This record gives sequence, C-alpha cells and structure tokens, in this order.
Amino acid sequence: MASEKTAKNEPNAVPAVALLLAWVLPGAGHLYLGRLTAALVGFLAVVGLYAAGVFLADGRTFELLDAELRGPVALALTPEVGCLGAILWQFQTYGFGLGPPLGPPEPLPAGIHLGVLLTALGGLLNLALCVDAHTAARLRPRVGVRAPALLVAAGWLLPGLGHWLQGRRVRALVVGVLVIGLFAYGTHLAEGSNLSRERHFYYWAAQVLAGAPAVLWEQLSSHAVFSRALPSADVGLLFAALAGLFNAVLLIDVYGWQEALQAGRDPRQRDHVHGTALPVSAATAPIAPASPNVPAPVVAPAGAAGPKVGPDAPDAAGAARRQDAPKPTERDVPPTWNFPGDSPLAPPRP
Amino acid sequence: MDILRDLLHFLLGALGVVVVTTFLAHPDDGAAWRALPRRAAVFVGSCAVLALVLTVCGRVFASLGG
Repeated sequence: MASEKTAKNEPNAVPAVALLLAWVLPGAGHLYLGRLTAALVGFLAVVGLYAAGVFLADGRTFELLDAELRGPVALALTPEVGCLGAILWQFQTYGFGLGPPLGPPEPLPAGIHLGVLLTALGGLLNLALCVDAHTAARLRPRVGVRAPALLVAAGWLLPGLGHWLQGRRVRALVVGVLVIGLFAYGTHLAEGSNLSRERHFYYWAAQVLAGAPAVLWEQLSSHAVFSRALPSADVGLLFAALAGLFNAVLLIDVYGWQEALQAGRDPRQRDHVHGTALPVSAATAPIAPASPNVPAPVVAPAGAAGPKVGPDAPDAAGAARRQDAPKPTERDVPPTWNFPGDSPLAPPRP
Repeated sequence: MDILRDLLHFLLGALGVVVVTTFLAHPDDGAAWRALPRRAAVFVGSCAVLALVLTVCGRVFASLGG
C-alpha cells in the first residue's frame, strides 16, 4: 500500500485535504492521492464493518446512550466518529433508535453487542486510514520503513505491539504490562460490569482503545445483568477506561517515532518545542531524493563574481560579519519544501 | 483500611500517568528511565499539595454553612 507510486502522490497533495476526504468518506483520501488499491480496500473494509454493525444492531447503536445525555454533539465521543460520513448517515437514518417514544422500550436485538462493536471498529479503522492518508501526503515511503499508520493499528490491536515492531522491546513490554494489566485489574474490580456499552456508553468507548484484550474479553463475557451492588465497580470502570486512554496516548509515541524514521530523521532526538524529530547529523543522514519544489542552490562559477560597484555594493565589514555568522541549520530554513527529506540542506543526490 | 486501599489505587493511577507522559516526552528509553523518578515525585507531590489545599478549603469554607 505504501509503496504505490502514482502521479498524484507528489508534493502538490495537500495533507489536510487528504485527511478530511478520508474522514468523510473511507478511501477518498487515498483516492485523492492516486492510491486506487488502498482506497478500494479501505472503503470496502470500513463500510463493510460499519454496515454489518448497523445490520446486526438494527441501527439502534445510539439508543444505548442514556436519554439525558442525548444531544447534537453527544456522538462526538464515540469511536464511530472516526468515520464522519457513516455516523452522519446512521444518525440521519436511525437517530437515537427506532423505539417508540412512549410506552415500554422494544427489546434490543440479539446481535446488538457485536453490532455496536463492529460499527466502533469501522470508525477506528477509518481513523487509521485518515492517519495513513495524511502521512502519505507529506512523506514519501521509504524502503524498509513500515507505514506509521500500520504500526499505530498494531499498537491498538495489542498494546505494546507497535513499539515491539519498532524494535523498542523494553518499552513494548512496559506498555503491554501497563495497559493490559490496568485493564485486567479494572475488570477484576468491576467484576466484569464494565464490559458493556449498554451499561457504560462513553466509558466503553475509552476501554475499546485498549484493543484486542478489551474486545475479546467483552465478547467472551456473558454481558450478565447484575442485581446486587458492586462496591468497586466505579473504580474498576475508571481503571479499565484509563487503560484504553493510556494506550491511545502511547500510540502517539509509536506514530512520532515511525514518522521520524520515514522522514529520514533521528527519532530519538525529538524537538520538545515543536514535537518533531531533529535532523540526523550530516554524516548519517540518508541521501534525500530530489524534489522539483526545492530550488537548486545558486553557485557562482569561480572568478565570475567580481567586485560590485555602486550603492548596493557590500562593505568589507558586512562581508566579514556574514562570514562569521553561523551557518543556517535545517530549522532556520523556511519550509518551502513539502517533504522533510527534501530539505535544501540535505546532501545532493550524486 | 479504606484510606490505604484508596492510596494504593491513587499510586497505581499515578504510576500509569507518569509512565505514559514520560514515554511521550522522551522517545529514548534511557532518558525516559532517568526522568521517571523526578516526574513521579513532581506528580505525586503536586497531587498532595492540591489535596491539602482542597482539604483546607473544605474545612474553612464548606463548614460556614453548617
């Protein structure tokens, strides 16, 4: 997917446009970049998951939200918002459910739990597509460097897997133990009562960010109805939701590292002010590909620059000051290039 | 025993917060481990100060109505 070379995947692509298109319509961002295969696969995967979820849940996903919490922006905190077009369509079609406004509510369909999970997964998958489209519009794929969105998806699927695939084994183990351990401890405290979107609509959205452990645990649980008081249910719910939120933040770390690698920078030297990686030293910097957007440095031929006469002629002191001035670093150069690897300060292609 | 359990839960949550934010701030593992103790101390200390202020406010202001 990342190695597809097309005419549109050039510096002319606007990352924000690719991101917005992918957000509204699955695959549209990749279509904009000229990546037809990725666009088609992404569209089919996201729409397939979402449609299957809506079918299984009879479109009653948002009926699980408490009545007092419903409102125009109530769905902004759901995983489904990762696919804006789908969530708008579903809300326009089904609203907060088809049940009668008065009288006893209709029983939920048998496939409601799997259905709401599939729509959530569709939204999360489309988020990964958005990340991939935005990255692909900014950075050229590098041989041997996995796409950042792929590792983000891996890190979601199994906490720590993204770091592991990056070769950061110690960090991967710490992340895995922290996220999975916290989720397991929270579920133990809540006695499994946290594993239900019907019971905890918003907390469930946070928990699902813990990936496969949360998803599988819920699907294997019986969605039992509790008739007794659970003394530690709230604390357990809090820890389980924290585990998912921690994993989401750690995915930013995975992305930042991989993005720096794809840009040809040292991922260990992150600029804490701008949140980007500093350039690799010139000795180890990979040779950047030539870009038509980068103007070639103008080098005067030897002997061609004679002394200038007139009001614009530079004085000797000024020339000395310019020679003493520090050479510009990559951060001093205005970003007139679209690809970080195409910095004018990068060594020229032989 | 309840206060002890709550304290342990707080420390568990604090550990998660500190580890996650340290990893995010320090991509290099070595720098992250070196920064971890100080960050943990700052976080726990700040929370203790905040708890103290809230407790004092509660005793001074909230008791006026009673």
